[in-house]
Amino acid sequence: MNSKPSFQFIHNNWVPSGIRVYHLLLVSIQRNDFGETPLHRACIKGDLRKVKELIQEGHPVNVQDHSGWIPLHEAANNNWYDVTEYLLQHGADINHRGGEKCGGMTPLIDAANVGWLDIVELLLKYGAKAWAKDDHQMTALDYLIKLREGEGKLDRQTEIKYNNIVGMLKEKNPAYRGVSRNKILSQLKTSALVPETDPASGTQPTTSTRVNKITGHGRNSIIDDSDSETEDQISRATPNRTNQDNSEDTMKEDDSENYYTMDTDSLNSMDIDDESATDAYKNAISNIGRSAKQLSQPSKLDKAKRSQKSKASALITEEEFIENDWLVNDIKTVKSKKVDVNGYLSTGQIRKRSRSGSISPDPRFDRRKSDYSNRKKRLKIVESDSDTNDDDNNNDDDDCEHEIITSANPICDTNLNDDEMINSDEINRSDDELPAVDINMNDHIDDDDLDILDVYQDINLTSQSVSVPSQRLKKKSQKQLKLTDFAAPQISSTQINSKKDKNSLTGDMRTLSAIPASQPVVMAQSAVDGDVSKTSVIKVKVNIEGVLLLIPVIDKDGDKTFEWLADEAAKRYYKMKGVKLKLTLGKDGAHFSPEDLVSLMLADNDLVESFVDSKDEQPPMVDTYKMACQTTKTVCYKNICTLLQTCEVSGKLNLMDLVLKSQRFQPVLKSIQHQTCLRELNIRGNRLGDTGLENLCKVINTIPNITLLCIACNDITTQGLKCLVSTVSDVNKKSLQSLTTLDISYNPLYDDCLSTLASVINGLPKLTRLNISSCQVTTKFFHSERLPLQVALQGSNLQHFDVSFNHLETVGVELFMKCQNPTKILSLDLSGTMSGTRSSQFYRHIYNYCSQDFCSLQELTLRQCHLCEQDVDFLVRLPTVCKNLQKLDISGNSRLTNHVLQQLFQSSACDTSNLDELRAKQCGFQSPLSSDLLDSLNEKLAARIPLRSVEFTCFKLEKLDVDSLKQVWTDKFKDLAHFVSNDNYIKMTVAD
Amino acid sequence: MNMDRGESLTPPVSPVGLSIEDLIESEQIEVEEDNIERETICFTCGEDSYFNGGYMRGLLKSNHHDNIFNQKEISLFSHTWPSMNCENFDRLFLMMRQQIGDLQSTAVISRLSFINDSDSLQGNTVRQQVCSFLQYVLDYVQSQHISKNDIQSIVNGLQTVLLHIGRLSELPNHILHTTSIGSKLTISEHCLHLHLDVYWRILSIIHTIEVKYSDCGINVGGYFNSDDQYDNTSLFNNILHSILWDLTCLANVRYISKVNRDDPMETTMFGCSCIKEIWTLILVITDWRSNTHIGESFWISFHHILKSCLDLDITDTSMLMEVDDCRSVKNPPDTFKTDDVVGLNLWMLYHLSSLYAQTLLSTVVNNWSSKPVSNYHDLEAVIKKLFATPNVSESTLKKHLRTCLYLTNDWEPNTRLLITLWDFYYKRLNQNDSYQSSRSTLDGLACMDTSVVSMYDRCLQWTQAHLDSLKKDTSYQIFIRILCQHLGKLYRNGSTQEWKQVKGRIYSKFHARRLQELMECGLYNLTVLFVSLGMTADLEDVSSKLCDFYDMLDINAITYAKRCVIWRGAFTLMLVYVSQDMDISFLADKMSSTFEHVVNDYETAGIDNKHNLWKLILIYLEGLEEVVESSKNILQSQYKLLGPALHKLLTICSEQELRTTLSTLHAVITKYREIITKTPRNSLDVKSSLQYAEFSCVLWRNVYSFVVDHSQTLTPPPILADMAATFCLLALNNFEDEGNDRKKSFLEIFKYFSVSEKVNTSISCNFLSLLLPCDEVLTRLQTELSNYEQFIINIWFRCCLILPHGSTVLQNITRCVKKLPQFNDIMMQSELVWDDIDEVPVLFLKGLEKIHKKIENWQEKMKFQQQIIPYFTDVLKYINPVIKSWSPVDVVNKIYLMTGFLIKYCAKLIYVRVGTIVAMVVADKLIHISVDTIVAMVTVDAIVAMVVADKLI
Repeated sequence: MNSKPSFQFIHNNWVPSGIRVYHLLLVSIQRNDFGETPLHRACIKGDLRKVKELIQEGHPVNVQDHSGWIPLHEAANNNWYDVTEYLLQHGADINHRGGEKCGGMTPLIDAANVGWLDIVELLLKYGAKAWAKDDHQMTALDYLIKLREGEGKLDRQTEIKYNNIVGMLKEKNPAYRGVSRNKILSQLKTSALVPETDPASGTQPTTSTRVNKITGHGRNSIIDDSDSETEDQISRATPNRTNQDNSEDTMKEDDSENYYTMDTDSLNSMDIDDESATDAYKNAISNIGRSAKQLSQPSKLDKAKRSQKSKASALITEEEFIENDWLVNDIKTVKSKKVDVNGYLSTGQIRKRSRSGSISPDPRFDRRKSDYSNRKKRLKIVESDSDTNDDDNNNDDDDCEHEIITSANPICDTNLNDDEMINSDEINRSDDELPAVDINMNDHIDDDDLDILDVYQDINLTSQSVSVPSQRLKKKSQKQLKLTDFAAPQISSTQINSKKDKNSLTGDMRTLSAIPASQPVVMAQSAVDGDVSKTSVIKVKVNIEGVLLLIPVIDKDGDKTFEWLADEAAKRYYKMKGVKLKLTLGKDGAHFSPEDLVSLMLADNDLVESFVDSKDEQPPMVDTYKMACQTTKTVCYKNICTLLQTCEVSGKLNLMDLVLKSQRFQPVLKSIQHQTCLRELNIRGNRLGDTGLENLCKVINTIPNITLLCIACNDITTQGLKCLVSTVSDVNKKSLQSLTTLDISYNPLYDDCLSTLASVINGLPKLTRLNISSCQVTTKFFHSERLPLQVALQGSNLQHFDVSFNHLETVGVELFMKCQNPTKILSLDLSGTMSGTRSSQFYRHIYNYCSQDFCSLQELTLRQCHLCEQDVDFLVRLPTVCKNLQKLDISGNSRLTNHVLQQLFQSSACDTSNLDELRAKQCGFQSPLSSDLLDSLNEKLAARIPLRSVEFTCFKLEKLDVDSLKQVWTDKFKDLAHFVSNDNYIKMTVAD
Repeated sequence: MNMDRGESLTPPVSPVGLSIEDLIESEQIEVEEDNIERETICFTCGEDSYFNGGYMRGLLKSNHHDNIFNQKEISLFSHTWPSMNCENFDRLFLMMRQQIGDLQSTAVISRLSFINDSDSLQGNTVRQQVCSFLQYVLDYVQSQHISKNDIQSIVNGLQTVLLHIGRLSELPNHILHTTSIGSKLTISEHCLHLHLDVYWRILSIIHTIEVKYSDCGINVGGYFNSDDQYDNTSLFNNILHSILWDLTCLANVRYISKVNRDDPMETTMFGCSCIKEIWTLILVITDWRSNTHIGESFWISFHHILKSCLDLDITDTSMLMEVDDCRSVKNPPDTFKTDDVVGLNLWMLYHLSSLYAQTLLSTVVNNWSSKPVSNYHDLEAVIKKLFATPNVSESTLKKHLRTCLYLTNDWEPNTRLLITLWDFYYKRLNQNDSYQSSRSTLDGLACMDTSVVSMYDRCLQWTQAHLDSLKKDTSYQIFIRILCQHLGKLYRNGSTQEWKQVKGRIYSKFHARRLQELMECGLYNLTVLFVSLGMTADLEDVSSKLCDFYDMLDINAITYAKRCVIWRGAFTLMLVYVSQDMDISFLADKMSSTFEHVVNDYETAGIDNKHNLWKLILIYLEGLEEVVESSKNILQSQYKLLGPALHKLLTICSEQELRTTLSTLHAVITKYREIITKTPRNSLDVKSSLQYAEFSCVLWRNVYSFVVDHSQTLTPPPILADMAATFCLLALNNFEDEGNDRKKSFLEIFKYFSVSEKVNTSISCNFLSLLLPCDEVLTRLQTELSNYEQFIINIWFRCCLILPHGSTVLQNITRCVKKLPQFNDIMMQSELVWDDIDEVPVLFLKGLEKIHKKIENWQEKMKFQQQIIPYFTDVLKYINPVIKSWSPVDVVNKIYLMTGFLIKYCAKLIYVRVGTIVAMVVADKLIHISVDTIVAMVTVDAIVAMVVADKLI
């Protein structure tokens, strides 16, 4: 402890008031070599009590260490929720950009950079500048997205959390505004890969400090990050670590030296990989440093330290395959074996570790689900000095390897069951020279019994959690023997090795970088041993969601990895299906490490399985569209590209009147699938036809958030509508459940569409607006049976129904009205439903409907209905009878004359009338307008609900009339009045 | 428009479930009178609806009838709409698109074979409704003043409708292939016609808008062409081009499926009258726009199509992968595929050109001249494309040039086209093979004429545009036809400048080396070309040029075949000259001198060469004969062809060849005689007289002398007698001549050929048989000879001695002799009846005896004897040569027989004077010989006759 008084380190930003200064004088701040104050240290440790104490003592809150970090940075960086909050409440500078060496990292960016979602949320809550940029012009959101990209599948909760955060961040950014909602909505998406209820969630500790973190936080992402901030991290991590060493008594200088060298070694060993070794190294260092600092149990320090080291290095290699649950288990195992993690795992501190390579438990469940029937286990046992390696057996809770190892290690804690993510599946501590032995255990055959369990039965007993009755292992007996042979020595050696020296660690690193699933190594070894010549070209079959792809692997140098193969497979699948997947490959239920060499693992014609890590994150629609155009060899249209681009932001895809035929529309369909942000799809005036609609139906279930669908004027017949019905009513995957508006007007549906239409309405629970204008529907529509429609309508939430320009005629209208649910329907459009020159009894049915007590109709459109003088009586009573009626449109009824207008004004002037909007264009009104009419208008304007919008045409309109109308209107609404008149047309409105 | 139609779309509901009220209601629907007005015009097969319906007139003259706006409402798509504004247009456009889509899907589903009445009715209804709406839009646009925004939205609506209805060319085949038969259309046909209706109506609306609202600056929207070749952004043009493309595709479908590739012009381009009508409508509107300077003319519009058609690379299958706007219209449509661009375009040009001749156009457009407007620019492009095609077959060339020939027939002449053609063909002069069409070998082979006449006839056909042989003509010959057709027109119109241009273009292609390179057929082609040109235009210029070219050829270096061509060419030219009454001396001089050379060569040539040379000589003879034969008179220096070389030829050629030569000459002489006998003497001017004189001179000099000479040979050809006779006749009716030394008098000739011992008797006999029937001759003889009857009987008896029994020659002579009064008298007196003309000589002798017996008076007897004796005085002289040579046998036989009879019957008569006992001498002579020779050789008759004679003695 080289701490010394450090009064001199008072920072301006920390001295807001004299009181504080006073405090400051009272408190002697001891800094260590890195300039860290006690508060820094407490924040690193997460010691809330200490922090409170210090703050209350008057310890400066925004004091910088030598590198420029303030305590808030530390707290945020180390995911101490409580501490962070406390600091924030006590004047911590939320947007502090750190010192010169900090690269402009605000606490928010810092937290985002490492993926502490809760911290990010917290900071945002306290008003952190969401759009602060660091010196690399990166924002917190950028880091999060980057991080996310490096991730595989997330568990559901984390994903929701993630999306929320991203949404929040975006909401604050003008550039992203409007998008976030979609993102948030997208969390509701049901995915086949994510179970509705997450069984893992229950097993999670519920410590208050527990935070959500992006799962599968991979090394890749960290490496990526480090691209932009390598210097910062180093400048930051190094002093931290050393400081840690110094500040923690338990840590010896040697050790720290050791670490350092070891890391260098590990770096060297990592050079083998193609990746940016430097970056990886730096990351590793920073992680180690940070992790090490968090060690809260000095008593276990040695072990812990080592485990940290090994973990850290493991993390580096692990990232590419992180999502695999079995790895998690293995990691856990290793951890438990090598480090005394009693109690350690159960504390929140674990999270520190998980930071560099944690995985949410959820994916495991998914995996398990999918692989349940085909469990395969692979065990690797490294001879003599070498370590046992991971193994995968996708059993329900535990895997075989887990058991074996735990059994070999009595120290292992029951806490292993904890779903906490622990990296380093690598148990491999072997030196390079040690040959690895692989044991494959396939448990295809259920009745083949649990040999391994038998063998290790007694050992296993130590760990209750491990023994799971359902576990079944199947293995080849010979290899089983090997396992038996080597298991014990191997395990013991592991411990020894791990303690030994840097050599072993080097080896450790090496192995880790190469093989998470150790099988490849074994195979590689055996391949070399067996003098098997490498074939330069092999064909590999990859099964992706039932699609079998045959991929040639041209592998001259033998350096093609599974990562490459996965990418290749994904690319092909994307080309084929337009769905972008992130894949992990595996065989016989086991996963390959992305870094393994294909040539070592696979022979010609091998069948490889794929595990879909994610598919929701679709590429931009434009890209998919272009790609689809290429694959289908259709022309790619730039205007469609533009529209798709617009849609990315607005969520509204408007492809109106493009007259695309079904075939040409196909690429568009490909591009919109899985686009959760898509909310409105308007493809009116295309020529999809039934075929096109059928194709649309095929993808519509991948767009769960769609609320508006307009397929008007698309040559759709009842046949096509039936497709829609089967899509929306599919028991397994209901589509269009959020749909509120459906427009199928101008399609040749004809009369026999009633039952289909009814089914459509039935299948769309949220439908509020339906338009079947001009669908060639006549009175005969109701001829067969109107019951289905009636039932459907009664049960639906439909509020707006447009049946205009169908020759329903009087009877049709009557039946139509009878079908409606008057309590729900708010607007009806019956324009052009009467083909006769006289509307006959038409009005009566409307009147009957409107006069029902519970009728909630607000808007009624009766254009071109051949209304005439006989109907006037009914018409003028509507405003009074239909209490909720607000809007009435009687345009295009040329037989109506001036007094209709007058009477309408009059009747609506009563207090019960809600009418405030009237349209009557192209009626038979003529100038001059009588004074009665003007009076009645005045009357209406004086009523409880005055008219707020009147529009009508009037033949031979005289200026006098215009003037008087204008006067009446402006008298009423004064400055708010809007008055437009030209030729025969008058429009009077009120500004809001 | 019409309520009844509107209702048919949605038939009345069946009564079940309907209230009575409603039933009554539906019946109460009265059709307003306003609505019944005229039925909306739409394409109706065979009716030229848009023309006859006044649509076109209304469009171009804008005398629109705005009566529809007198009423407040209009019925469209079976709904009633306020008529005064366009705020419902969006909805109406949608309804229209819905209707169109509905009809199209029905049509696509339907097949030709199932003609469903209700479908058809639906088709008709939809078309009516669509047309009504578009008519409304047009009326609206025409009669109202519409704001810029509204215009824009109308334009957008129309564009979208066009996009919605899709390309005509993209309709399924069964729709495109429909050919309407009868007035009732199937649904497919309705679909096709709907396209036409929509196309035409929208085009005309856009036209109206552009004209009326030209200052509006209409935004073209997405309906533009993706290729930048049309930088004209006029919407009308864009739509027009796409319509034209569609119609072209339609024509292409027809061209591929229906047209006989060998004779494309026989099949019309227009599947039905409506397609023809829309083409015509487009033609009228574009040309109208062109005339009023607001747009491209029809041909220019079509030019865009044609150009990209020609530029279309069929092999290029690469697709445009990125397009700016999906609403843009791609031209040419993807469905447009053709492997015969040239054929298609020529075919279309031909049929489109014919549209200009439509009479109905004049009903619409004032001052419409039915003269087709030519489009040489495009034609030339097509022709160039044709020529640029590698390995283009002769049959293809033939077919296309035929179309070209027909096509340009109605157009004004054009030299550029000719030059294009010539530029192609002059390179191919030698390629006779390529002119052969692949399928029939004979056609191609027969193209080389082996005679002067056929060459002439052929050229004549081409230049006179006789179409009989058109099918057999090679493409080169069709080219000549085109050339002559155009040049002829130009030349006749006095456009010498053009003629000179073309001429120069043609002439300039030849020079010595080039000519040397020409093979036989090349030379032939060159020749016929020039001959045709000569026939068409400036003959002298052309022929002198041709001769110049001929002269460039080294006679010694070229083959006989080529020389044949040259000779034929020269004579054909002469024929042309002669036919045009032009002097041929230029050519004749050349030819006769060449001929002389040839004859000289012929004299000395070996067998091989003789054969070749003879071919040339034959051509000369044929040419000579034709030139003379075809002449109306012989005033064009034809005589120059009858040079001394002819005489020489006569003397040196063998018998077979001589016959040919003589027959030619005979024909010439006959023609000459024919001409001069027809020509009234005093009508001749000096020049003509000179010509005649020259002609006769060369005849007498070069031919007659030979006839005289040759008639003395032992076996002269019979034709020689003919010639002698002709000459004799010439002499007979010849003019009192112009001091021609060679010319003999008639009697001289007659006597020479009839009685001269030098002349072969066969000749004499034939000569007589030819001349004696001639009254003229007899008259002449009568005047020139005192005892002409005795002279004739004398030479007759000579014939009797020599000519075999039953010889027609003898019969002819006998018949003539019979008519002589003296002879007749004798026969009358002898009272012998004779039926058989062959018996006449013997009967005559008998008769003489009989008369002699009858005469009792000695004096009279003596007188009679005196009369008879000259008949037989020369018998001995006649028989001597025969007796001497004792051959030919049959003649000897006849002589014995006749002398036998002579002695038998007339011994007493002719035993008159001392020392001149004819009979004895005769008998002695005969007997002496008979003893010396084999008895068997003498016929029984002869011996009998001798015995009889002996007894008498």
